[in-house]
Amino acid sequence: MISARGLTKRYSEVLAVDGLSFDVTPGAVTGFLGPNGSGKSTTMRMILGLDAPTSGSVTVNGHPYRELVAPAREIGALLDPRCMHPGRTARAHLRWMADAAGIGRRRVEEVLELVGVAAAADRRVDTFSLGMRQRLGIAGALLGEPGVLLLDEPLNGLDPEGIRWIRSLLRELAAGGRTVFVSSHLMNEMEETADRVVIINSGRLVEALEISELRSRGIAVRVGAADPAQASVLAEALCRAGATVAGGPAGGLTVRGVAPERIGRLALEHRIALRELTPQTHRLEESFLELTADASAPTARTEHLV
Amino acid sequence: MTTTLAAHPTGPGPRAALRAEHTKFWSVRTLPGLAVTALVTAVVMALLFAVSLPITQGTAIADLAPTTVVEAALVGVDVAAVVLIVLGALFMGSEYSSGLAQPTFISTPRRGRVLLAKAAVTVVVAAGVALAVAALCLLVGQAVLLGSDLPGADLGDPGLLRLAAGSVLVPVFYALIALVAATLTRSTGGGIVAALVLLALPTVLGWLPGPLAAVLVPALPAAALHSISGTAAPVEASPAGAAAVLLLVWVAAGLGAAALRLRARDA
Repeated sequence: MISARGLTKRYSEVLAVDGLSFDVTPGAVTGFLGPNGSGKSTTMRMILGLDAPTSGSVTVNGHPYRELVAPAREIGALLDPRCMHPGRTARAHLRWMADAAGIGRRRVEEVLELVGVAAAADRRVDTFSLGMRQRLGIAGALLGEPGVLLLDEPLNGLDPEGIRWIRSLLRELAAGGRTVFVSSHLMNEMEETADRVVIINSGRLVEALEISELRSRGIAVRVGAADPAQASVLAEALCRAGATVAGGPAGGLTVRGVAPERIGRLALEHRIALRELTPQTHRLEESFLELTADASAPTARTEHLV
Repeated sequence: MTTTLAAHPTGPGPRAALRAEHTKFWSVRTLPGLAVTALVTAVVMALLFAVSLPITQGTAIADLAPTTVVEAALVGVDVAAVVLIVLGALFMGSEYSSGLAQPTFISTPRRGRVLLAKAAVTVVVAAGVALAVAALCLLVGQAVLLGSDLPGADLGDPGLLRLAAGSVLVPVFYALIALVAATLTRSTGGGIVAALVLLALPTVLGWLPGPLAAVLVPALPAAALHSISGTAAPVEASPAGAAAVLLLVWVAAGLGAAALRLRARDA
């Protein structure tokens, strides 16, 4: 469980993270989405105690990271896979991490196997591709068998096989009851992996919701009443349910913001026969872009201190 | 549920950080390589210092006191100090240059522990190298004498032993200062430059007007090190005990400042 409350980080004049509040719950993969430079990495650095919040707080299992007694057993993290000493072997890299966490050397061999780097364990990290470094970084995150996993853009630089591997690993970890928090700037990367998404833009929370909800919200549904005279009644009912309704020819309606199933039920409640209920295919990427388009400015938002 | 038991009531302590830094030190080539380089360079230079005495002193070795020859060879320990300064600075500086600091401080969020662990490893390595170098320098000086068919120096001479023991402290102290300065500047270069400046400072301050130098010079670590090894100039001299305290104050102040900076700054 990760909980942010009013989390804020200001770097001199730039407000990188602005009053973020969200929870990342166990048993699910939560995608952390936002355009590049929206504050995802800064948020993750604050979760891990690398950067101190300017105000607000963020906790892991109820405690600020720096107060965790055995951090590696609570949360495993991979931020930047390039952050390793190039001259150390993969095994040695994991060994110092295990030493620091008070974890036995046997676990090092286990995670090397788990991420498929065992055969290259004695190679220096500078001979590794970015994909292999990602795997090695994930091995480090898994060392302490933590209940919370935090990965910053883990699909960057991966080949399709690596992407498939990470996706199934994340699904497995979440299925085992773990809290999995994964950032990405691409919605389509998260579409098949995440159960929930926390979307931020310019350091501010845009939405935190189930991915199914986002999916249904983005979908435009063409609805037609069998009797065109009833179209206005239906439109009114849909608006009351929170939908955005646009009129179409011959009493047809274009409805957004309410799932098709809900539209059908509303029609039934109002005893309106439908001649059409057609979800328009609409990619999540488009919903995501719509959500983050409003507030996004071409340059990072700055606030001048007077 | 009214009470929540911490899932992991006991976590890794300072010894875990020490083990981690020990593993780090020995799992790259550069750091142990520098320790070996310090040893080899120091011994070669000790030999050069001893055999070049006729040129540098303008006197034949036969006309010099045997202890003078061995003392010249012991300057090799100072050569080791320069290489170990690089080692101390690189041990912390490479964390920042390679980005390793990120996983390091995620693994050990109590950052002061990382600093203390690195300091402990640096002190042990530097002391080991310095002791070996000092012993070898004594032997080199003696070998130069015996090789010139001259009577050897008395290696049990208290003055000579005090000089050797005091010399051992030089690389240990400056390697530690380099580590501290690399932490404060987050760079290997910063660590090296700061330690070298501190090493050279007595000479620079010596150019200051007498009264000013008389106040500043005795407060420098060089004065304390010279007082301990019995080679202090009059302006530097203080009792060995006071000198040892002064060195400890320098180390404690340096480590304290670096630890505070590590804690306060974003990693």
